Amino acid sequence: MGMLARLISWLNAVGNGLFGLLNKPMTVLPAWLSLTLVSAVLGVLMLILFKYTSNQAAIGRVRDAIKANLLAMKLFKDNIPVVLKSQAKILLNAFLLLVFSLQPMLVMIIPFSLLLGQLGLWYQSRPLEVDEQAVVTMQLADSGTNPLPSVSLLPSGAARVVVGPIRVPSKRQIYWQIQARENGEHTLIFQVAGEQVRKELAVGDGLMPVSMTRPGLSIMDLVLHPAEKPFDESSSVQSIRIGYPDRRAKFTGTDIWIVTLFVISMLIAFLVKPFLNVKI
Amino acid sequence: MNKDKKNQIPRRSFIQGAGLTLAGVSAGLCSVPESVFAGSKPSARHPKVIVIGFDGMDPFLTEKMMDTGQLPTFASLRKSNGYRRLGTSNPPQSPVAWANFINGAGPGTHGIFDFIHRDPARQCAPFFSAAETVEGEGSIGFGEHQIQLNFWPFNHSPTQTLLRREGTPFWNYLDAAGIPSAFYDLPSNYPPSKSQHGHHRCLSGMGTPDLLGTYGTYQHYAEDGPVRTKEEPGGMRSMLFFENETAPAKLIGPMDSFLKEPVPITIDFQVHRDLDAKAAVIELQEHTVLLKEGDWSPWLQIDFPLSMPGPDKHLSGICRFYLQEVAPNFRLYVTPINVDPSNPATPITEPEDFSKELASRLGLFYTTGFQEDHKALSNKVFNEAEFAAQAQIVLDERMNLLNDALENYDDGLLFFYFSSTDLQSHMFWWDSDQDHPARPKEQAQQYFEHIKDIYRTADGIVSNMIKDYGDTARILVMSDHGFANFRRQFNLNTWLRDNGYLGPADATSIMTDVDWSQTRAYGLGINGLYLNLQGREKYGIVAPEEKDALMDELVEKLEAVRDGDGSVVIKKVRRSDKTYKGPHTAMAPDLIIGYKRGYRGAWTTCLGDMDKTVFSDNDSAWGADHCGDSTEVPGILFSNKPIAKEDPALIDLAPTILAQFGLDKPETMTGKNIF
Repeated sequence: MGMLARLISWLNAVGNGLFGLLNKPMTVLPAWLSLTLVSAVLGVLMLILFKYTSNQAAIGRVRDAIKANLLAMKLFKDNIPVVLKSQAKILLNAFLLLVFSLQPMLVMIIPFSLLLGQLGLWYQSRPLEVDEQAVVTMQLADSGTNPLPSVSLLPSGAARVVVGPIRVPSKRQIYWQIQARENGEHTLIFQVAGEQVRKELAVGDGLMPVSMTRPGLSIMDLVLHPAEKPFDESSSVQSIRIGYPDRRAKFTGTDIWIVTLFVISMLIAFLVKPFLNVKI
Repeated sequence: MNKDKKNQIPRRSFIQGAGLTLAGVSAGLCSVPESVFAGSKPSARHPKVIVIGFDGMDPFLTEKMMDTGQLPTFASLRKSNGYRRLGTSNPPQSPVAWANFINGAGPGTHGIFDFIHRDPARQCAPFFSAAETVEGEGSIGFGEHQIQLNFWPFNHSPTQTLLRREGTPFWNYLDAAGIPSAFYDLPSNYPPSKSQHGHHRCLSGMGTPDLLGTYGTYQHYAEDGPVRTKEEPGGMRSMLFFENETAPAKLIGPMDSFLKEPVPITIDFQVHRDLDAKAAVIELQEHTVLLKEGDWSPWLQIDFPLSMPGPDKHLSGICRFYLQEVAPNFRLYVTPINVDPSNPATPITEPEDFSKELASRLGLFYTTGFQEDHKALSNKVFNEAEFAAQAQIVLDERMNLLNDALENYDDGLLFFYFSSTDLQSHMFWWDSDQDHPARPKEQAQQYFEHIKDIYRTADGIVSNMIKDYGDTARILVMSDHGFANFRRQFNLNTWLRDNGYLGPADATSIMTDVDWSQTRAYGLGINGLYLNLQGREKYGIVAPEEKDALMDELVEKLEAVRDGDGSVVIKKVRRSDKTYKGPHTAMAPDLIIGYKRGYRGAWTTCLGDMDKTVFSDNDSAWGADHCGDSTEVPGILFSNKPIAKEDPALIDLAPTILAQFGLDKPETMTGKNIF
């Protein structure tokens, strides 16, 4: 568990660097256009990856068999035993197609999940606007009945504290309401007992990566929140979350961006398939 | 609307207007040439008429403040002969008065005579006069659920709320003529009446319910609250029990109408408090709200899932939290759950999407008809300062709405309503040297000063309006009635009982222990007196031929009533058969009790109850009212054009507005053009 988490964390660090670099030019584009371009490139990459990680010859044979059985059903539609036999073969071959897709799926699942995490930074939430408020939640490690440590959010030009810290011992959480002051990619610094911990804060009105949570060493959190270095298991802080607002847009908003990504990438993959000679 | 567009005037009208404006200015009048307002057909552009309604703005206070230079804009309009006291309705209750305004005629045309009517077929069963909820018919049962299918072959009819105001509202004539009209917070128009031609838009005001179907039910949570949720007029109270500084709570929502035995939908939420920080965290659905003592949350959208055997169905409501106190007694107030304007569970605007359009530009806002939570003050959930702060939130929201209305106003009629001058006056008005029954004299004076501040704000609103639109629009500023102290209560039913008109002698309520065979008259509503008439009331005993004599006798005796100190209590008792004309008088009371300033019908008598004594002090925080005699509480009328009519009344405004657009007065209207 710890090993895998560290591996994901390391892959995230590489992904952050790469994706940050690749996506930088996209920041000048509107979100819908950048997502369309990213989806198109992703569609082509998935197709190429599928081509080289799957057994294309076997897939070709299965597809031919399906075609042959469809033809048989058409030619011998009055012959019930032939039709039934062909239907059974089609079902079997369809299942085989699924089996042949497993290998590329297994190869793609890890990079694709990490990629989704990276894209989520850009399209899931929007940064705070200047003067806008958000709730910051710090999750402290569960240390039995020990009282909550002394915690403070150090003053900065990035944001001011409107309310807090509010300490909730039953959940071992501490809350602040902050108000953004200045555009930019900032760092909030917290003093937790003798330890200083940091959390990124995004303020601006354009497209920029928004890291909602600096996670602990949980696999799922690491995949969903790849931008920041996770907290160590030994840290008294287990996560810090900022309640960024949802991104409201027709195609790239909080609830829809992932659908847009899948639809466009699939569409592009189907369009490009004949040119790359890929059998799916 | 941009400034250039706003100032566009057809060239011909502009030239004519310029000449006449010069003439007007030289005559010392703050007037706009009539030609600018004359019928603009065939041009697509229409005249501009802006009507600002300050509910309950009182002429006596307004005049005093104008005389002392505190209302310079109003004083300037008065100087230009653009001010009159405005005759109100009989009785001067808001639903009646606004319906008079809407129809351009009296209650006989719109059928609203009081906040409360009664159904004589069920003897005296009370109901709200302005809207009626009609239970649905037919349903299909699925286990514990019932479902209505309003299509063939089932054709079930769903429960619906119907507007009971009769007659033709004046905007229908504008609509038919293709003249746009927009109304914001219009009273006596819920559910909003439909536009036949698509030129009318309206946000319903007074009378619009909250999501619970009431006129506003707050929820209050406190450590010293009742263990079981307790209902009180206008609110509910519950106890919070903190364990490790966290307390669970339930927000009570609308009834789950898909159940055969409907129960309220409740939403669990958590309250965490930090005694040192004097603050709390509220976690409700996806919302995490941090509040310091004295903070208000923003509007929160709450999702209420209905229990359905099929696909999910949800109702959306909005509310705000107010953290009153963290320690020693944690107290948390939640506003009534308002209909979400961005996703209304019931239409609150015409067209239905109008509320969504407003919410998309302005965010969420109060949608219930009564926005200032007077019940919270009456029930001592709020203190005076808290009520004033909540009322200021309402006023700020409405100012925002007004700005948006003006930005989106091109031409035609714009009507905008303010409730601040009414509901805050009910709670804070006290223009007397006598002791206030509910608060110390100094405090009463302090809060009356607050009312004066609101009047100054009103002056500022009109000042801006005249600066921006004085040259291009006819501007009318009106109120539906004035205000008066409500120091003493008169229990009409007790008086009827003590004078032998209602029996038995120890009866306590017409709803429970009255003997109708001993009862010739009863009171219901704030100003209404009904005879127990044979052939009309279910258990009627007064023969039709006795009616006239009995009414005359009651008028004489009631007008002779004196308080303990000899004060006149009732200025005038009017017979409705001599007061109301029109096709919709069936629900009218037989007599309308017109109280003197300082008096009003007792709280208990409004719903038919009796007290031990006929008179009592009004010790409610609701210390002022207007439900007296119509001559005691006239409204105000200002215009940026001299007013010709000496005694204008509410019913005159509709024909006046129509005339500004070149439309003739319809036959149904009895009012007259004031210019």
